[in-house]
Amino acid sequence: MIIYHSREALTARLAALLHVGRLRPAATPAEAWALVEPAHAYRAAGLWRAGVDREGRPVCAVGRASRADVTERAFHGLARLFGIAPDRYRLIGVGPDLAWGDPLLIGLRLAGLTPLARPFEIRLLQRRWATCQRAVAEASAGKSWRP
Amino acid sequence: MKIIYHCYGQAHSSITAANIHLGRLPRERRATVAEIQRQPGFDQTQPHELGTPRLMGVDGSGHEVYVIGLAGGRRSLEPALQQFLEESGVAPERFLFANALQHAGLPMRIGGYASRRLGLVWLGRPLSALGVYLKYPRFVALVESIDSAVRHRSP
Repeated sequence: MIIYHSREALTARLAALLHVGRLRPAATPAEAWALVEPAHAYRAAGLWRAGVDREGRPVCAVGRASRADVTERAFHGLARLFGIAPDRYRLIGVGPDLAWGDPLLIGLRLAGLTPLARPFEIRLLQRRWATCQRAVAEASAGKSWRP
Repeated sequence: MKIIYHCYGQAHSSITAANIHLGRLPRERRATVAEIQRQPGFDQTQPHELGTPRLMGVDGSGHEVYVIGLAGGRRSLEPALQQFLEESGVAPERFLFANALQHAGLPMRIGGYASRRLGLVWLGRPLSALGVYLKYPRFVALVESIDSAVRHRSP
C-alpha cells in the first residue's frame, strides 16, 4: 500500500491520482478539479483510495492536519505494534507542513464565495503541481521522498 | 486487544484516561490535583515523541493500554490509522481508539501549551492538573464507555 499524505487532503489526493494514472502528468491544474473536489478534499478524514498502480499496489491519500513527522511516527508505530512488515506499505509526504492558504480558501468556500476562491485554488494547485509530480516519479522509481 | 487513547500532545488527556483505565487514578471519586500531577507520564512528553504509541500498562483483563499524541490531526488521522490497520489485515477486534481530548477544557489546553510548547512548566503543569481535576468525571465516563465497548467487542 502506498499512502500519500499532506497537511490538507487535496495535495495528497492529486499525487495519488497521478500515481495511478487517473490524472495525466501533462494535465493542467484546472483539469484536476474534475477529479479532486476541493470542497471535500481540504479537510477530508480517513484514507482515500485513488486506485491501484501498475504493480497492483493500492494507492491512498490522507490529509494529516498535523506535522509530517508525527504522522509518520504514528503509522510506523502502529505498524510495529501490530506486526505489519515495513515493506507492506510506504508513506510519502507531499506539500508544505504549514499550509496557510488552505484555511483561507476553506473560509471563502464556507462563506459561499466559491467563485472568489476558485482562482486562488487554481494558483495554489499550480504551485503544488510540480511537487506532486516529483514525489510520484520518485515513489514510482522506488525511492522514498519527503518535502 | 490494544486500547489506544489519543489526544493532542500525549501529555495530559490521554495519560489521565489511560491511568484511570489502569487503576492508577480512582474512578469512584475525583482525584486530587496532587494525585493528578503525580500520575505516571503526566506532562512529560517531549515534542519529538509525538506520534509514537507508548505502552502505559496492561489492564486487569489483559488488554494493553497505549497513549498517542496526534497533534492537530486526531480527527483526520484516527480514521486513517484505523483503515490502515484493517486494510493491512489487522482484525478490528484487536484495537480500539479513544479520543481523550474531547474532554479537555480551556485550562488544560492553555496549561498544556504553556508547559509543553513554551517550556513554562511551573505555570503549565499545575494549570493542566487543575483542568483535569475540573473535568475528571468526564474522563471517568470516557474510560467506562471504553470498558463497555471492550466488553462488547471481545470474543
